[in-house]
Amino acid sequence: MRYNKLIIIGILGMAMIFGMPLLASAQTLERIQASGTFNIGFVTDQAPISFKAEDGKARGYALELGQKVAEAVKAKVGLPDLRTKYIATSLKDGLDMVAEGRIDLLCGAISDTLKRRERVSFSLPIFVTGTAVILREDAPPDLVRVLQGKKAYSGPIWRGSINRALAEHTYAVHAGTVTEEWVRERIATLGVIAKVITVEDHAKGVEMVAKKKADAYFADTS
Amino acid sequence: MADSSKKMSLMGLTTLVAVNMMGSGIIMLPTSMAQLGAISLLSWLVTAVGSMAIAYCFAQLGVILPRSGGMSAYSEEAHGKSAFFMCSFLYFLSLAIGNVAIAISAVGYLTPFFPWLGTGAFPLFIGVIGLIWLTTAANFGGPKVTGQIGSVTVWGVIIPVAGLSLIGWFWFKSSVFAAAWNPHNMHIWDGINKAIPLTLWAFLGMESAAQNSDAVENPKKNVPLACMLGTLGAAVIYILSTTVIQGIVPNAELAKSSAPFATVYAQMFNPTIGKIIMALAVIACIGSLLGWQFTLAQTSKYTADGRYFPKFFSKVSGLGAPLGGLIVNGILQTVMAFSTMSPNATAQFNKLVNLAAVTNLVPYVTSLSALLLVMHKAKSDKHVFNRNVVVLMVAMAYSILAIYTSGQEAVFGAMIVMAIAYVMFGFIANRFDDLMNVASTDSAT
Repeated sequence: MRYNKLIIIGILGMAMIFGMPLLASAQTLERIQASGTFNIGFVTDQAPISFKAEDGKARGYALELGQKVAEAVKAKVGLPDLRTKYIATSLKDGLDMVAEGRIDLLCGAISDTLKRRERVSFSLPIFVTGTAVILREDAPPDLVRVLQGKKAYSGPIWRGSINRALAEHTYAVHAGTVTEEWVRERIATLGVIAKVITVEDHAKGVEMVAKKKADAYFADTS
Repeated sequence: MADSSKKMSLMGLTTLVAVNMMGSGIIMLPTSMAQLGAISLLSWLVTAVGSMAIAYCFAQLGVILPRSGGMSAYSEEAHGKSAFFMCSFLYFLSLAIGNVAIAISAVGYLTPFFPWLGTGAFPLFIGVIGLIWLTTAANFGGPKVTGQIGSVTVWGVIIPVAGLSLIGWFWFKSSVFAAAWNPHNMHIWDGINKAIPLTLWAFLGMESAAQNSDAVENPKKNVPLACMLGTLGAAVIYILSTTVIQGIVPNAELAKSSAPFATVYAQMFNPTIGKIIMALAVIACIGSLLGWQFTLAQTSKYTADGRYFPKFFSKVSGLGAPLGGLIVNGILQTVMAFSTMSPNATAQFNKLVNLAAVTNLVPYVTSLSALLLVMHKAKSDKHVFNRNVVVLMVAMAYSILAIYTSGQEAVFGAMIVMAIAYVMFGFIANRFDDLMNVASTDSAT
């Protein structure tokens, strides 16, 4: 089961896929030393792990850990006046930015997956969480049953069974998350007749459910 | 009682049996089967054998014991007066709930043509009661007119479904079928096991011939024939159409189609033909609702004739239509249709729908088990007796499997309903106290 998912901060991106973290981290440290700047990317809509506060500043649990990392880096490269720059980004872009070396560290609720490890390196897990889903109060009962881990339909299939065409659902998912892959995989396995649309941030996903454009919104918890 | 010129012909009754069975169930069946793969077609072996056994037993009962009162009368033969009431009550409930459910599905199928119906709970409710009363009113002309309307709406099944079973083979590609056979790489038994529930209940409705024996010409000959022919016809069409479609439409596409017959015709010809086919399927669905309203009214009429239900169900118009029953049944279904107005009520109604399948099956057990006694009484030939017992055991095993597979919640609900029904019978049991010995006088005709 993939319910329990780890939230971690991505750290020290590799420019090349050598599978040699030491070399990679050395490169990142060299880059920081050369530029005199430590670029921390943060995901803006993952409160309380990582978010953009009202004053426009980066806040959150992952960022506080990120600051500690910055201090450690400062000592390691021997630059007491190392500047720390915070760069707002999304989960999807953030991973690319780490991989391409545009940021040195990404703070946020980011699941550690094999596929992602091909491009970036991860810190130790910093938080254990799961997948969350938002529904309207008048959500279709068979959808609620599926989400409770029960079979969508357990009764007899006879002429009285209400036709499935009415049960065609639209699911919104947070783009680029492991939840997105998971939702698509479950739909295929369970044979659910559903359409998946991706949204860039939580606000958009919640709005789609509220406005009945989607029946459910799936995202990583945070 | 209506004279024979107002009654239904053999053709009319056979059509009614087949359409009652297939009308609404067939529309989504190819999609459900494609989700498992064409391997699910093997489940027809079980379903077809079991349901033909049931149909054969009904036909035997019809031949040996040609009396009105359908399954309830057969049940009474072996199990007594309370069984007559139980059988009628459970079956009545099953049909009344099933009809509302068919109407809800039919509105769903109508939505592509009348988008307003899909815009909320109120339009759905209006659509449902509209269909309930349309199909009720269409029965006001009496059995003959109902049969005639049925012979028009049956084309909604004949053209898309039976037609596909014939002409579809020109478009059939064995490579498409082979790819669809087992897309999830299931073990063969696993596949059959998962597929059986898809077709297990597809033959509910074959009892409609016996239920409508009052309304048909020459019931002694026509009821058994219509039961066998209707069931056989439905079996052949079910099997051929769900087989050929899997060799035309690629599995992945069929598995997510919300209108599989429209999809296959759109692929064979063009999307416009697909839309026309969908319209025909909706007509078939509404035609089956017409047949069920008829069967429901006939069931409540013969039950009231036997003094088990209130008198108003017995009222027959000059045209032979059980007017009282039709109207009261229409009102009852309208009340249930209110459940479409809120999600909570819908969830409750769905539970009723599940238990209604079980209350359709219990009468199979009570009525068919009477075959043994009926054969004893009729002093059936020993060979015939033994042969019938074997077939009866298959029919009973199948019925019990169908009850078992309905699931705990459905059987639980049905059990509660049965308990309540016994209380109800307690209140009317005194009506039959002095009549116990003349129970079969009205059946001697």
